[in-house]
Amino acid sequence: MWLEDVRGRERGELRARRFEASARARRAASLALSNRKEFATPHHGAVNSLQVDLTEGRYLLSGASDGSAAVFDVWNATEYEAGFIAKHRNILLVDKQHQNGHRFAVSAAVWYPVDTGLFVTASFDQYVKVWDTNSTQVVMEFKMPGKVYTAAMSPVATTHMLIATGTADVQVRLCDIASGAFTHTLSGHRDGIMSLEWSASSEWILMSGGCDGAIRFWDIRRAGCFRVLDQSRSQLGKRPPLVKSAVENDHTDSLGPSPSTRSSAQKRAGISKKSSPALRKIQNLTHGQMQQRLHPGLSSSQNRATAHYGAVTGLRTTTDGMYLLSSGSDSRLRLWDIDSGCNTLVNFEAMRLQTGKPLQLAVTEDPSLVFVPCMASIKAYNLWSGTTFRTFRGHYELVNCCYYSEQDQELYTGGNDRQILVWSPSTPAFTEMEDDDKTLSGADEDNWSD
Amino acid sequence: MGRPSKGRQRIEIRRIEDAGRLEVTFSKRKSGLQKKASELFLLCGSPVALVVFSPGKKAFARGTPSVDDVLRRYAPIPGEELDAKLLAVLQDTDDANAIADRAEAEAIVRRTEETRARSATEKARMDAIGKTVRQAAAKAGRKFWWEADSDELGEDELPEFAKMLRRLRVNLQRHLDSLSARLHFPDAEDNLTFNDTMIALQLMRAQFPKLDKVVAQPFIVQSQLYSSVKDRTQVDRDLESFKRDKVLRIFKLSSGQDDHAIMFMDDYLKQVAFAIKRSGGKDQDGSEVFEWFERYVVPSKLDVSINQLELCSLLSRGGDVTDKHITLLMNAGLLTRQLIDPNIYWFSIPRIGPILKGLSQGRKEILSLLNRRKYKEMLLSSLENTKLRLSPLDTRFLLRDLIGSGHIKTVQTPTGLLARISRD
Repeated sequence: MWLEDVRGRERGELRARRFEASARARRAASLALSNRKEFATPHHGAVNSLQVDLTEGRYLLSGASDGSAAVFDVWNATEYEAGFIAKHRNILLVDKQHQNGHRFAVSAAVWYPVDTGLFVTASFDQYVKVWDTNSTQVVMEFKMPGKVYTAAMSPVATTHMLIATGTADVQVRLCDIASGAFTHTLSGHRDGIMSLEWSASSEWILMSGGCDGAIRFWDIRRAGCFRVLDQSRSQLGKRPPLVKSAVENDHTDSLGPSPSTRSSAQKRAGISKKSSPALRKIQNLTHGQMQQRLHPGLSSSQNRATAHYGAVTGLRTTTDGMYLLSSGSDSRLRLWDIDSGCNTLVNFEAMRLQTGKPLQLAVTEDPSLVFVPCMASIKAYNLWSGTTFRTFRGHYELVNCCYYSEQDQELYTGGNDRQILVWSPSTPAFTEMEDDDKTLSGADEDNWSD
Repeated sequence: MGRPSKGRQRIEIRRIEDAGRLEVTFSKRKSGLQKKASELFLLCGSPVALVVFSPGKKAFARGTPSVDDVLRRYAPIPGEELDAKLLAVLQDTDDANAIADRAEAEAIVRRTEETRARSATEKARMDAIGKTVRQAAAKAGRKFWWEADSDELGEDELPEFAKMLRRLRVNLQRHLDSLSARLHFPDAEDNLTFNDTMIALQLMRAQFPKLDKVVAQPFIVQSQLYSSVKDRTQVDRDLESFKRDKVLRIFKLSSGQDDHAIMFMDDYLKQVAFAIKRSGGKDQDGSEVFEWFERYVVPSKLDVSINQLELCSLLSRGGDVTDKHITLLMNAGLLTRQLIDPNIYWFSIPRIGPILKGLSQGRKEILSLLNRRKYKEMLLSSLENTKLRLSPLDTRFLLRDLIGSGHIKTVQTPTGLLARISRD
């Protein structure tokens, strides 16, 4: 198949992009536990977070439950075992022994998106620290009001360098590296925040998933959230229908105007005309509810729509920024259309997900596969149909995080067994014997013959 | 222009070497020759007899009126002059016979043509009716032809429509019977999957277990659907569109896990009426809330839950709503609250408590039964025959639910389907 593709490329039948896309897809489909690469992890606790840097795709940053963070070089191995198995040791390690290191578990470790000179770690000791990679020193630290579950920086940011942090407190805080202070506090969630994700298309849009089961979209230039994802609002298919069928907004949205270009006064007049006797009666009946004054385009903080029946434990957008995947502690994975805010009703087959910890999901670039850590294995699902593509079993204990490196088509996973495993496109066995000087034709050769 | 094939080509008139093509060509051209012979008799009145020997040494004879007739008339066998009388008779009434024969043949041909024309017109008529029915269905926004609004159809379509509907019902009943018969013997038919959500729903509704002391309309647990229909996403989307069309309602069960129950709208309304009667009937004060609920809330709020404001606003279309009304609704079992959010009321199916208890107990019992075994697996057929101690529901109902939710997976073996606890 490779040969045919190459020949097609030679003759000009296959375009360069097509060739590349089909090569990537083929390699992604053949992922298996790597037999030529491994990481020697120095961690003494569960690996909670993994990320390869976005500029070069060369350095892997991992954060663990023993308060340590380590950096590995993914391309060059530090030593070779048995001649061809590459062993990668950590280049850098910061742990409890470090004078400014974290004292409790590191829950998230992310690179500074612009270059690998800085990285950010967030920990259960309520601190978010910014480190200089070359000198391994803490440059800046931010104190949070609760255990920090997650931290994220926008990969497309050009005008700001804000770290979004989610803690056990109900507010999302944005910390600024340039000034060293908190710039924003976003309120709206009713419980702690377990997962955060910046939008892949806009540097101002942030998505947060909370323990109350809601997913909120925030535009950080304004004061409130402009959308709350509701699992009962759904669309049948990848694209929303052209004719807007009567999607009835619930009445909490009608208390405030829905995002539209019409003026808010006109909209409120329209609603009151429709249901004025009922509205008056409601106001007589429910004394506890206050009428909230809202700006146009903002969603009420009393909007109690939930995206999951439990906590939202993981969020991931596709790289084109059009779809959002969310995993919840109700053991469901949902695919949302970001543009319309509807649930696309893709049913990902039965899985049991960890409920207490934030999970890290991964999506391939031509969004075709999503990798989800399910208990002690990682399941790869087809994104659009929800069928299980493959189950990767290799970890001895629960898996917490996975990261798919688009450049090498490799999947890195970390779990409670303190290991970071590498899953790479499988190569046929005979090419391993590189120092074998017999000329073999792989087709008619087996492992026993001389 | 991009024609798919080159069409009929001229071939060289020589003996064909290839045996297969030889025989095919022979049979095609022989039938053409026979047809031409009969046409020649009809057009010109000339008796024709044709004898052809195939490459397989078989003889095919055809003649009008018959081969024997023609040959005896024009090429008499020498030994048969004894039947000269017969022959003379034949020869004398040659013209009369020929005319009679031809008239008879023409009558036959005419009848054939008439029948063919009649069948063509009938077919055209049925096609036109079919098109009208489909258009009526499309106009009403429905996907299937049987959902066409009968008021739209004209008087020539209605009888045909009724006949087709009856035939559809018979077919469906036959299909359902065969499927349910099949399901009693799972090792005979290991293909338990369908590709239509509605068929699966109807089947499971028909097979809802009947309990002794509980009177409940049938409902389907959502995970049971996943065990029968392969494409889960399609099931979800079909359920969503059925929900929007108000064919069925979906309820979230309070069993602790993410369970949903699906009930057809008429079954739900019947169950609601039964529950209202049981909870005290219409003579309590405040019982007009049941009517408001059925008229205003059920048709307009199609989700699994409703929040307090909206519930009050919908109910107050009927009259003034007080807390006592909501209490009545909760006592009848039509609304419940769950731990997730204190401000939201969840729709629930009233009076199915024993069934839910049977469901959770039965799940636990089957899973522990399988877990106790050495390899955590058991043949599906023997599993279906085990009687459960703690649950009155039948095993097939519970197995479907467990397979659909992923706790058990089925493996095909030479001795039948095997049920195994799925490890994650």
